[in-house]
Amino acid sequence: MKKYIQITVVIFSFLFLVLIKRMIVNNSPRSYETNSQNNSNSTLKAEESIVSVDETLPTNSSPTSEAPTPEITPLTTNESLSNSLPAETTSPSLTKKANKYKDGTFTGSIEDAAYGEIQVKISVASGKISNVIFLKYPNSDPTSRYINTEAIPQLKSEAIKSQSAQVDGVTGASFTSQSFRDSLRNALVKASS
Amino acid sequence: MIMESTVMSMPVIVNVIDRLVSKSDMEEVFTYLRQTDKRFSTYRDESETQKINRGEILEMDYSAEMRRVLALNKKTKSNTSGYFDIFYKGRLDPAGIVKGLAIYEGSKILKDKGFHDFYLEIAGDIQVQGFNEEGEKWQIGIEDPFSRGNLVKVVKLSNQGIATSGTYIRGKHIYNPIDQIYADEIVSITVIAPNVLEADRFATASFAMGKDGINFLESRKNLEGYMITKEKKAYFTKGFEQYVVLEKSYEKD
Repeated sequence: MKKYIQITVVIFSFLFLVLIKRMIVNNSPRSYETNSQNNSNSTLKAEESIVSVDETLPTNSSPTSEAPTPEITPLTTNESLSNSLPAETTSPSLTKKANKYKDGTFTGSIEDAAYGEIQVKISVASGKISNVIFLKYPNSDPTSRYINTEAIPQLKSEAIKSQSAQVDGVTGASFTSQSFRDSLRNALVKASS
Repeated sequence: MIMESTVMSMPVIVNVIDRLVSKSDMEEVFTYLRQTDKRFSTYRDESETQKINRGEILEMDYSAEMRRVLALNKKTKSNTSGYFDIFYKGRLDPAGIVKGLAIYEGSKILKDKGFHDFYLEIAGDIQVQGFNEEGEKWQIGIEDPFSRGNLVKVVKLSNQGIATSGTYIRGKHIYNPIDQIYADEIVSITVIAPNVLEADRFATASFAMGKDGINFLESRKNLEGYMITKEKKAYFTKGFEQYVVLEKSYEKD
């Protein structure tokens, strides 16, 4: 059991940064093309595109130990994990301050999430986050899962295949878990102190 | 007219096709979304949510908006045998209801103004009304959870909501995988419903059910789903296929 709990999951830090960036800079018509040569066709045909980014992730606070830590808010489900509604927080800007950290590995605090806990470990190389590993993740604890493994749906199935298309919009899960960010922030505080 | 902004740290896109739409019509939607965030945010000390969590407001003094969210929570919890609850260890985190509700209400603002053809998205959860600029149903891609920016499916929708719930802990990024443990893990689940509020709350709940989520969706009238597992396999409800755009029909010459 313990072994299962300790399963570590790696997510490349650039993915996180890309997501943060995507949240901040979301001002151009999106095109989802596999082939780059097709990129001339924009997905959203704007008669007029008005960009008014009033609320973005904060960029002013540095990840020092004095940085105020927002109250940790437990999440209710795995969905909240990925789709919670974070407002402006005082978290350090991961995109702008990433080069100020000490090299090494830093373990974040354990944060309470739905159906389990989240804890990350970051690796810093050349002052930048080179890796984010999940030491704890809710679904990694078999006792916390509500999965009936016997119930393979008798439904149609297929192997998914990545494809390109011109679309009006895209549905997907956003990765803005507050538990994740709280643990990551804690790791960053250690990396910068 | 397309307007994009960030509310609650999430990208919001409003796209209204109707020609008579004005900038102030669009801004009304964003104003509503910001007010909603102020009321419900767990990250604002002055929000009603946080006042409730601190025990500063009696239940009889909750706002009508809060009562509505709590009623929707109760309903969803009961619909899903308890897989959904915005209370966790006694604390209120209404995000699981509020996101879908905010898109739904934002759409209602546009509808009440007489607009027919529009698209409203908050961070991947979408309501579409009428038709797109080409006069066709809105084509919505389901993002490939293993390769962001690519799609695994395209669906055509009108007067419907679609929402996706998932993790982006991808198989190929697992540091020390024990396949037997993760083999049955689902990566994302997308729900198509008559409106985005339904899509969002049932995407949340069905994701929490693990692999049973797709069976749950199949058992519900008016809900269709597309579930992707860690092995890059998709399971989908019987009615899902009617919305799928065949790949060849949008392939370029």
